[in-house]
Amino acid sequence: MNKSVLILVIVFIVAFLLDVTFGSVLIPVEALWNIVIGEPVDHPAWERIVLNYRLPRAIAGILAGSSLGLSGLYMQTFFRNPLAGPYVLGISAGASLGVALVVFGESLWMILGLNLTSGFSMAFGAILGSFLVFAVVLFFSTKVKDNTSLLIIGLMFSSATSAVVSILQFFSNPEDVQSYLVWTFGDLGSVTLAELEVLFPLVAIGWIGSILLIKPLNIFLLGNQYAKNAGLNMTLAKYGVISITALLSGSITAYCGPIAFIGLATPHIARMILNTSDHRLLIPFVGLLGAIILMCCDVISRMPGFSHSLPLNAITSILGGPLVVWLIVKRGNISNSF
Amino acid sequence: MNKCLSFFLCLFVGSSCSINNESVSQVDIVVEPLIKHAQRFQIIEKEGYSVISIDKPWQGSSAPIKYLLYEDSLPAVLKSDPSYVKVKIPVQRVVCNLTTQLAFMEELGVQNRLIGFAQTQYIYSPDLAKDVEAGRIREVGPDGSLDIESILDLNPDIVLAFNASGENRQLQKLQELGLTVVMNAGYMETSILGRFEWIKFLGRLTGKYEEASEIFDQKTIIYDSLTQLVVGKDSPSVITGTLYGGTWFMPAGDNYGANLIHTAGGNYLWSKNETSGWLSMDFESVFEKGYDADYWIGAASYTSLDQLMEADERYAEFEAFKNGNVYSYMARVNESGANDYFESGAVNPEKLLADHIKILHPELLPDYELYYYMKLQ
Repeated sequence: MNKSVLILVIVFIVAFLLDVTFGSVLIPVEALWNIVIGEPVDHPAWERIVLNYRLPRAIAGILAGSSLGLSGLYMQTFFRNPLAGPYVLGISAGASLGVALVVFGESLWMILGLNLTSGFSMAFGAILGSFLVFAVVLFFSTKVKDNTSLLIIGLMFSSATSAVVSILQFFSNPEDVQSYLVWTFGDLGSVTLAELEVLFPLVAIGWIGSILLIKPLNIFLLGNQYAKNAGLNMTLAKYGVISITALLSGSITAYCGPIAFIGLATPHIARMILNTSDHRLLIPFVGLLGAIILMCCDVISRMPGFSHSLPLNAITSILGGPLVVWLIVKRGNISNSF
Repeated sequence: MNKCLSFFLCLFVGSSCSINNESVSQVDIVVEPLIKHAQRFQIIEKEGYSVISIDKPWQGSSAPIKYLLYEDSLPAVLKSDPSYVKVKIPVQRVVCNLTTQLAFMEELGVQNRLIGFAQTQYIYSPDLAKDVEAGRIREVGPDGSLDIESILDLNPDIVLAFNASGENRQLQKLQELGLTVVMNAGYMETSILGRFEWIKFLGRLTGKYEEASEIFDQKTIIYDSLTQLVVGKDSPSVITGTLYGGTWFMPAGDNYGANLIHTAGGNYLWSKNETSGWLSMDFESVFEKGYDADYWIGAASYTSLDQLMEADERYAEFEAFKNGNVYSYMARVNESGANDYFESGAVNPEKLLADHIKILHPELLPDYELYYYMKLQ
């Protein structure tokens, strides 16, 4: 096993422990230990906080961080573009539109003179929205020859769906706008156990599928022409990359909200640390690193000891930005990585 | 709307039938309806327990919620019935994210049972504010960013919550964590007495139902006698609200605010729209209809005409502005920005009505002084 991956596994365990140790309620270390070994603790609520709240939250963080990191990696490689992230296909914008339709639905139907109550959950809206955009992107991917065209199409979809969301917001009452806004901040703490039971298999399929992507992704880096010569079934590889990215980023967005920056920053950090673009190494590394970064951001956003918390998305961007800048400055440039 | 209502009515009738079937031997004790004005909840008395059902716990909800309130022990047949949320009463430890409930609690004398509140800086009541300072009431964060760990740590009997819109993932999470979340839909009532009647809901939960009923009846008498004052009087025209990010949110004709103006003998200019929500309008359409309105009541949180004009010069074009007939609910605001209108307004429907009558027909209440509202100078 590569040395840096080994170090990363240790950091991963530390981040996980931090995530279950710190929260707005300060629990003494010996109480935490007693909870782990199953001994009774002074305050029964502590056990519930650690096992039923912080643990699922940390697991959601692992699933979300690794999935978003991997989606970002796949998109950057597929489009050979350092600015690509999980959101370039418009999948997350589709999820946002789905959620917006659920949240603003009632006031919207009223304007149209319809008496409807949707009764759908936000997660359902998000899944439906991302699936529809995914289907459309997939359709266009059969129509265009090169990946860059697909990148532009994805971005156009993102803009168009965001515009529809703005119109919906404009016609909705402030409570609904607030409710939608809260969703866009991203949140790991509200993921319920029942939702984790759905999320985990979806993400696991994405992870397993990732193994199949290693070879095509490495060849994509060399350019389309080379890929053809290498005897790779380009069309199949293209669908594979798009589908797995959509699955990973779409399912995470549905349950945790559109968590920013992890997908964009993690692959860069990984490439710079490893100094390689070999996906055999990058994929496990990005998966672990994404989870670590998101768990650390989650601990900070909870502001241990305070009853106030900060939006998760604010923390991922505030911390992630300077980290990437620092790495780029240290390395001198970034283009070598591609 | 009608379709929706009848749908919920069917659901409700259906569900109450099934209650009767389950407990053939148990007879409903009270025949006369306990709730007179509120339309969002019902209390059904049973032997040894009672059921409170909320037809539509939040805007856009698709199913009613039924709370089964019991004192000593649950009837065995209902123990595993998943259609009820079971609450052991009287509740002693309450976490709450609704300002209105603070006033209800004080009115019922159970404010010492409040152990956690959403944003403590918005508490107006000086007594409760002292409790916050003394650390007896803990802050648990606003709707949407509730501090779930702190709530678990407080371990309350119930979390009394409202849901402004749609699905609330944090409340779902709290339920999954084993806490009893009790929804309050009082804010969706379209009449002021309907909102006030939710004091009976809290009364039931806290074991103070008799007191709640008595307070409700007393204040209703005062309220009703005030409504008699305006019978036969002319009705001056009224507009309300202000622009909010380019949109003017105007209460629809059957909205709570619109009904209050109507009851106080005002002619609310958008009363023809019979829905209960909000109309989002732009400046032009408000101005077209309301430029010569006699009164402008509820100009958001502005406290002077200068402030209003600074926000948007076009406001000065309204006749009500030119004549100085602009009012806002900012008379009782403390230094940290907490507004009593949102807090005790819920238990003082007679004062809210009197304020409106004083504004629209000052001659009817010559000695009364505005309580929640102030005239912008």
